[in-house]
Amino acid sequence: MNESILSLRGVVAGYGAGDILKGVDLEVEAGSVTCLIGPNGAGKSTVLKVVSGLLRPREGTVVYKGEPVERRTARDRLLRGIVHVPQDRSLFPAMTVWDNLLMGGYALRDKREVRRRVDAAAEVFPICRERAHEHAGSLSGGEQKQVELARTLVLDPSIVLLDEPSIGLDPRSRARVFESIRAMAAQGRTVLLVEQNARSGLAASDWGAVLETGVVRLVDRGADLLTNPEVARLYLGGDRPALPTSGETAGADAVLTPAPSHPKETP
Amino acid sequence: MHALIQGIILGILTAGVYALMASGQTLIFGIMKVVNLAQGAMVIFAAYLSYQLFASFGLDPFLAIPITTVVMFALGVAVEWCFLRPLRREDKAELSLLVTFAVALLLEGVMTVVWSTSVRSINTSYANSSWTIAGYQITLVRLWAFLLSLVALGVLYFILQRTGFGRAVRASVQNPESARLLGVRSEAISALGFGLGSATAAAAGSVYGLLYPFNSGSHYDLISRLLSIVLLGGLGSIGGAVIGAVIVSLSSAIVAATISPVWSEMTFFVVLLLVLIIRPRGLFGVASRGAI
Repeated sequence: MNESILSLRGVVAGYGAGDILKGVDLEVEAGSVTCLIGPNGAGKSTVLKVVSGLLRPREGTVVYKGEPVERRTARDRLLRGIVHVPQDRSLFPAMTVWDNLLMGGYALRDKREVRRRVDAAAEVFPICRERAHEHAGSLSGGEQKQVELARTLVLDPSIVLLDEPSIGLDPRSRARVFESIRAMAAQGRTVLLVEQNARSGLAASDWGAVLETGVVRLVDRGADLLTNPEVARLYLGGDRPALPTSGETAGADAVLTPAPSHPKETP
Repeated sequence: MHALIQGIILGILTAGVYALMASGQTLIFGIMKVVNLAQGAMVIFAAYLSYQLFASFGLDPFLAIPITTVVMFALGVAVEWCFLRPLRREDKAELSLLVTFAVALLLEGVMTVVWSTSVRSINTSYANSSWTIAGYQITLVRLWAFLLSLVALGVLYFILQRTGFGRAVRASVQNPESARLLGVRSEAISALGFGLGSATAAAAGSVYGLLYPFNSGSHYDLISRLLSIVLLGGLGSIGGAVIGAVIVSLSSAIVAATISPVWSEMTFFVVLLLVLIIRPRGLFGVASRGAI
């Protein structure tokens, strides 16, 4: 792995009294696409919230560009180039598409620069100009996702945190989203992606990480994880694991056993 | 027929004033999900300020509005800062009812101490002037009040639709988490939004003082009307508040003019109940991710 832009070390975080993340260690390579996969409840979205500042970790550090940021506010991290696109539709449905784009530059002071970036984002995603005066809520799921990605570009992020970007989209829209993700990486941006559709997510990613029960079990090249038989069995729709016997649990508690000597395994 | 049309004219002119008062109430709910039970007391407090500026300095209530607007804005920000911000997010919707009611009682106490409970009114030289057009009487004060309310609503609309602050307010109402992820400071928006909602009470208070006699206890009657209007229009919708105000004022004025003033007081409560039975969210009520 080349230079890391983001490091999570021993991150423990959760809601209320419980811990969702139980000591997450993860390195994210600058300029790469990294996909987090794992069962429901493993803590994938929680990792993104910890990185963007929506959730403060109870323990551990989040180092971004060499500097600890875990105590900084979400706004502060945004201004440093960490942009989070949450899983639920993140647009403002009763605002126009253009106003949604302008909101992307809300935290920036130079409003002329904001307009320049909005224009540039609309060049990449033409739908923003075509439907500029329509309410964002009237767009289809795929169209809304394009506007979300365009709004992300307005912030000129160094790292983009995408939570389930393909959820609920038709195959064509999904393909468009993954194209856009690759395009972001080609522009030198880093993408940390959570994707329930593990096969598509890993195929679009340079790196993949498997998260189980709040701990990163395995990190490897996306292409290599796609051919890992155990990953395939658990997450890629390969041979399904045996049904749990009494006393066992499935789903979030299914544990992937990493090869002890795997070169890319996290510490 | 003459009485009916006169009632409609009166109802429309009064509606503008109620729309202004209710727009502040519904704006606060839209931003913070707080039902501000102190809005009526704020209007009466602004009416007292306007009264005092007129009594002490001879300042016309309409000209006093910029001063009272600044005071009411500051009061709103202070109330949000001191009493609402400390509430835990999960308890805010319920506890804010008690807190804002306590603020109303506090304001009532202050007004009673400063101005006593005697009924006051602002008697300008034009208070009883009126125009007669085609046999219909239009009171000058009500006409000015109506026009002022339209201007104030226009300013509010401009702020919400055309400024960065307004865009941030609307974004926070529609998707708070997403707004926060884009750098919107939700606490600042809440404070400024509460201040803006309270500031609408300034213009409304000046007008109220010109139109009606009032004392420190007048806010009870006022808040019941304001709540009826915002519930009728739908909590959180400014357009709904305007429509609600028109329905409330028109129905009351028409019944007063054609049947009896005795029945007019309860008319809009009957209309309210009917609307809520048919459409519990009000005419234009917003869901958790709605638009103001």
